[in-house]
Amino acid sequence: MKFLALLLFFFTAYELVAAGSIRGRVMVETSDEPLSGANVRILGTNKGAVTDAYGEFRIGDISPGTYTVGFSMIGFQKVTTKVDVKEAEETFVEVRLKEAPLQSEQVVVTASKREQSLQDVPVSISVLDATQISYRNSVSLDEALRYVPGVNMTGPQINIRGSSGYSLGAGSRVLMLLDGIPFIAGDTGELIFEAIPAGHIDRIEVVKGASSALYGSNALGGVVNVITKPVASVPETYVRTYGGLYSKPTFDQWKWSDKKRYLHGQSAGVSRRFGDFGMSAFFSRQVDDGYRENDFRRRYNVFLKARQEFTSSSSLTLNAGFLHQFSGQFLFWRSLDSALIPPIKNQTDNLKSTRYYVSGLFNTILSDNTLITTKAMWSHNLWGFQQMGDAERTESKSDGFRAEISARVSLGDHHIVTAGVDGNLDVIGGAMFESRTIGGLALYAQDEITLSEKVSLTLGARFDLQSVGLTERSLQFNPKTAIVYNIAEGTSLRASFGRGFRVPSVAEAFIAAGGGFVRGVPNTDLKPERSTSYEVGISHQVFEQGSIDVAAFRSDYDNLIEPGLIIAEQNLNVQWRNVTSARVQGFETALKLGFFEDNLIYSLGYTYVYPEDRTKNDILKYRPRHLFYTNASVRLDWLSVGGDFRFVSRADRIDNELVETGIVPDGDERTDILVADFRLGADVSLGGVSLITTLNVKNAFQRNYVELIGNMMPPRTYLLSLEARF
Amino acid sequence: MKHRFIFVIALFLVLFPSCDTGLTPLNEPSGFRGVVRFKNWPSADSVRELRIVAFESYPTDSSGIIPALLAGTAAVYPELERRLPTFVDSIEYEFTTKNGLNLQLRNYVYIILAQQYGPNVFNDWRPAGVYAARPNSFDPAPVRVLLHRIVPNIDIDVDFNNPPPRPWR
Repeated sequence: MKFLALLLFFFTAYELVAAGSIRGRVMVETSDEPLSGANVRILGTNKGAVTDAYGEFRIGDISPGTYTVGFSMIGFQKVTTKVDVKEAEETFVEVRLKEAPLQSEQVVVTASKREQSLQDVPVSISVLDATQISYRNSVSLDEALRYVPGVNMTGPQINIRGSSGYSLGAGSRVLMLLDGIPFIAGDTGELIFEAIPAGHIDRIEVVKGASSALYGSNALGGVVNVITKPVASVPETYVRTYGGLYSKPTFDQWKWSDKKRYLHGQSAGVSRRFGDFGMSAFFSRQVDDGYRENDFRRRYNVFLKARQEFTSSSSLTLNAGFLHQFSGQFLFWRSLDSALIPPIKNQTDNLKSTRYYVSGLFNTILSDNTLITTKAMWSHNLWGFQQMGDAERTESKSDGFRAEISARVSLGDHHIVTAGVDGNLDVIGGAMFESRTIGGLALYAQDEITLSEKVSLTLGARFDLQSVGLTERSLQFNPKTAIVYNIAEGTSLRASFGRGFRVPSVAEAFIAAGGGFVRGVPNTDLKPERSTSYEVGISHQVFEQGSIDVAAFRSDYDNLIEPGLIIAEQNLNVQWRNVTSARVQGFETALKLGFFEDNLIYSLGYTYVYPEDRTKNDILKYRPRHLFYTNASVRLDWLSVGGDFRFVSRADRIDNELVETGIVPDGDERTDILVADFRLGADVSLGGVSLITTLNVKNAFQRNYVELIGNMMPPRTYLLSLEARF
Repeated sequence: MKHRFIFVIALFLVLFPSCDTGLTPLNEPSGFRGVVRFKNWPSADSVRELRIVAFESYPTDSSGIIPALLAGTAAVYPELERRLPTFVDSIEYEFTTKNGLNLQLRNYVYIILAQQYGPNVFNDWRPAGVYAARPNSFDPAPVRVLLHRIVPNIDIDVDFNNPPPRPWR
């Protein structure tokens, strides 16, 4: 306690010096018009502001000294300038921002655990922002991810560039981060998308390719970093409601209910600042009747955030989240002729889950060139399923603890070194996986070296000791190298190499119970799987109107863990095994264009993947070879119109055993996924209240398709949402 | 004009490939068919209902038709709102995924003609005939229901004076 008091005194001692302030104005270079909503940040501190309707800002309470101030806004080139702050004086600054092609000045934080311009990042990253999530009315995180180039979903599981197939809900080759902290279920190793309410997401960054050199286990296929909305700089209250209706099935014989099937939800949030303290609270409720029998859902999310700035150079952010969900469990259809009803014995299967977490992030700037970040999270998961005839729910519970301390040091003008130590501990209980305790410890470091004005090199490595109590203890070493060469203004070439690994989840190693039609067979000899990834890419600005990015990639996998199916009488037993050596290679193209001051935006992404099972000399299961996404949106003053189109080719291979034995009747009835969504939006301001109304028609052409065998996806769905901010 | 042109192009790109409905029902049932031959009909008050029942596993003392049906491990023909004719010499039947209750692509090890002999719809059931491995035998023979195929010759002989043993209590 004494130590804490001393620490607080140390960090607040700066306040004793008489402070100065910076006031200023931000303008558009070409028109001299004021620019509202631009971000102003004093680099190396937590101080910042957003410009008002007149393009003006003020940052107070600044210790005397010379600072570098950064000015940025999407669609404009970032500008930095030196500002002298004198004791008890206000310094005035005026800057003009030059318009920039779309995306080039987008800032990301996941590639190197620090803020970087998207163009300077040596790996492929896609960013999905809150506006896109809101306009599409994506009610869950996994739904939002279906629009990211190179990403496709196989039911609830994410696949980035062919890294993952379908593993029956156990383990993931993609790591999910919540505000930079690993957020993955300790027992099943799966990503809990529903625990993060879509309405509280600021943006999602998707890193494609092995990232274990920074993030450790699970990051061998990529990383999804979900960044929640910060505490607003001005008081804000948010209310949103949506209601929707599923269309009737295409064929009368699929009709299973005389009632209309609805979905609706409500959410509300507030964000306030009180001096150096700020907090926000968010609540959402979702009710879905389901378009299939026994596919209903009731979901409640609560999210709280508090931030305290102790001094201009240190701050603490606390997050807490809570989820309660009760849903039916639709595992697979009865047959294609009865595509929207489950087999009789699964008609009452249901799932109940309660999950909550608390996380903290403490940032302190020790000197002009050193930032220390401390992160910690505790999460609790309790979930279980109940099948017909079960007297009790079969449950699993887990408590996960994660902590990380990292330092970022700028050494001269040529080196930015990031190093850290992190650890995790998962305590698991319940009938499903029995009592287990697993954990790990890791050390990592990377150096971003500016070799010249045009060339930067990143070298990094991470040692992981995983995992006590789970299979055998293993030491992993994962290096990475990346280089960016800025050929000309707006054109950069990149190349990267990285290794990744994944420790098998408790579910894969120890599952002894069954879920639905699956019964697990433990395999305590499972070893971690490994990958080596290579990528080369080029990014180029097109006609001052946008950007094009082309990348070629290859990943080699060893000891790939795949579920092995064992058919025993009428039941399916599954055992995860290190069975496959694989190579996944391909290329990806992403184009984004903005015309007429970005009132017309067009984007497309195409990914070709060749997923090769080198052990069986065959194609890997559940990996589509072609992904094509395109999007167009037009804004005419307060009215906006948009559309999305997705094409995902039919996967070459699935688990034929499930089909041949009749466990999933007609399971091989699959087709290419061709889905078109449309939206119409109105954005008006009435008496200081911003009102956004959006009408979405999803799967507008009522395409009947499956992502996962025996699982028909939603028919045409109409959604109307109303959102108010004040 | 320029706005409109670009908008039409963008819309075309979105709309063009979306003209197919995708998956459609197959309407090719799976199941089995055969003849049920009857001998020695009893009095009408002891033949209240007749059903063909297929069990995934041989029913034990504790599991009769209704519990197995509820557990999804038995299938019944015809559907509940229809009935098999009584007091006839024989009937031809076709038990499929379309016209039965809960028939799936599984291996059924015990297929019987079940007779409701009393007023209790839950308990008053007994096997009157069984699909047997050999003629004049009560040893049950299995039938595997294959995708989009109707397995023929699943014949059942019923002698109400000589019914097979009732496996459940």
